[in-house]
Amino acid sequence: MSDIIVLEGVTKQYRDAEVVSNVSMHVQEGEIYGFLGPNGAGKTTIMKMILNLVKPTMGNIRVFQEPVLNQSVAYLRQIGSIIETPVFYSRLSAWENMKLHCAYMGYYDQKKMEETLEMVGLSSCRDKVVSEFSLGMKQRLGIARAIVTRPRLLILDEPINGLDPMGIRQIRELLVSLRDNCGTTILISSHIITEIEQIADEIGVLDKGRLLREVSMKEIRKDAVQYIELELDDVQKAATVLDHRFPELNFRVISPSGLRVYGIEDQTLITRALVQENIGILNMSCKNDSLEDYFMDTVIGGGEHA
Amino acid sequence: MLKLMKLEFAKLKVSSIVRAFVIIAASILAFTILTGSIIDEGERMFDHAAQMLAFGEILCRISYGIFGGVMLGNVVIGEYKEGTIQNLFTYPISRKKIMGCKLCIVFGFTFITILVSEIIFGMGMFLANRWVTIVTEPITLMQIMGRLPGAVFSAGATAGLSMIPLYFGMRKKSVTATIVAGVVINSLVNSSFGGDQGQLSLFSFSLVPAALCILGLAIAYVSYRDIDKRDVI
Repeated sequence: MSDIIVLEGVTKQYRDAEVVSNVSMHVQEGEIYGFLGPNGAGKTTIMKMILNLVKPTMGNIRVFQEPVLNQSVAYLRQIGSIIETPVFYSRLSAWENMKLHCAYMGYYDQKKMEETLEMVGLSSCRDKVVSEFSLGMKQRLGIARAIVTRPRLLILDEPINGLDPMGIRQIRELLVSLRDNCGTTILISSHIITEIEQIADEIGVLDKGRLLREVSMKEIRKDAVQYIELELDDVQKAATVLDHRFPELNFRVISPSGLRVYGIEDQTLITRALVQENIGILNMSCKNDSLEDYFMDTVIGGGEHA
Repeated sequence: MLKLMKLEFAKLKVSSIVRAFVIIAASILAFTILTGSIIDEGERMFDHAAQMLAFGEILCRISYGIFGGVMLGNVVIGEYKEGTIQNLFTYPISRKKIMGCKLCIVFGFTFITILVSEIIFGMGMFLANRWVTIVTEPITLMQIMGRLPGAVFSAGATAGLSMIPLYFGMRKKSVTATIVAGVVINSLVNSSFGGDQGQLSLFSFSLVPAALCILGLAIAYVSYRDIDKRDVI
């Protein structure tokens, strides 16, 4: 799998602040790369630099194995994007905006344009003027505009911003289908970690302009700590029992009625032991550390692992 | 380039622009005919045809010069203000071509509207003078044609100096600032003084419009020159 996007030591300095610091990252062909980071981390700036809207102070950027220089424009034909809130020519209708976009891109497939509007649920509004659109509708139109030419690479900055739950799901399914059926590479940033978790293949965690961690979701899921959470009627007694019966066991009391047991393969050992000692088990569930926990650890952990 | 211009026009409301052009031209004609046909204490507004035609020229220059500023606001500054310029620069087209096309449209629009309106004015007054006496001597077509070279120069100079508002508009990313600058510059350059000896304005001294035209074109060139090296804000 070749690298579609490569950043090497990219830095962006504005007059009073360094917004992106020495970021090096790779996005492979055909994968969904999720950008995670708090507000102001530099995600949008990096995306703008990939699109040549912002020029890096230092470092190189290569897209489709070609360096991005001041005069590079041809590579943009293969990229569809949403940066911040999508803007349109508000006097024109959705259809006219789409036609204009396609004309600029040199794309003339009317049928695909109609299909795309249908995919994002805007066929009924195609002749409505964009100034009358709601935020969600504009967001959908932005997504439609990004995908209409079926580009090789999609750069999406918070694409599900302003969408209702149904819309979020539709877009999620759309992106996954684009990756699976068309081999589209997708770079997506979002605040909503649970959404990225569901579709990303690779994650990049950014904070204060630095790339703290770049890791595949497969690895995260593998390393994700599995634990059993128990709700008991007598936590103190349970703790004593577990300490006595399983001295090597790694467990933690998390609340006056709750206990967490880590790294246990056979949970029936625990449950049998507790029942034998007459400890009532009110609730039991198996959980994984989520991407949210991983993200919090990486960012709040101060990024020492970078 | 032609295709790019077509796309630019698709974004504008051409019917409104044409309507505005016609209304302005008609207003200038009507105003001149009305004021020109009044006899006040045995004196007419215009002593001879040249004076009347010069009057029309000034009105055309000011009106369409300001209109040029409005077009600059819509075609260039408006896209920066709305943020659509960012989207425009993600297309596989050189930024220089995009900006160059916009600036050519504004310059060309201002030049053509001034020239055409001056011709319409000349023709209009030629016809009007046969029905309503505005100047006692008859106007000849030769007189009107004779003003053409001067009209081309003044249209070109005004089109050039109508680019000056680009400087103010780009600084503030404000369409209002662009239009106000256009109004101020065009009014100042064409406002007349020295009533008794004859109508004189800054425009009368050829050096002034020529210099301002060069200034306007220089400002336009500076906006164009480094556009692919700068960040899009």
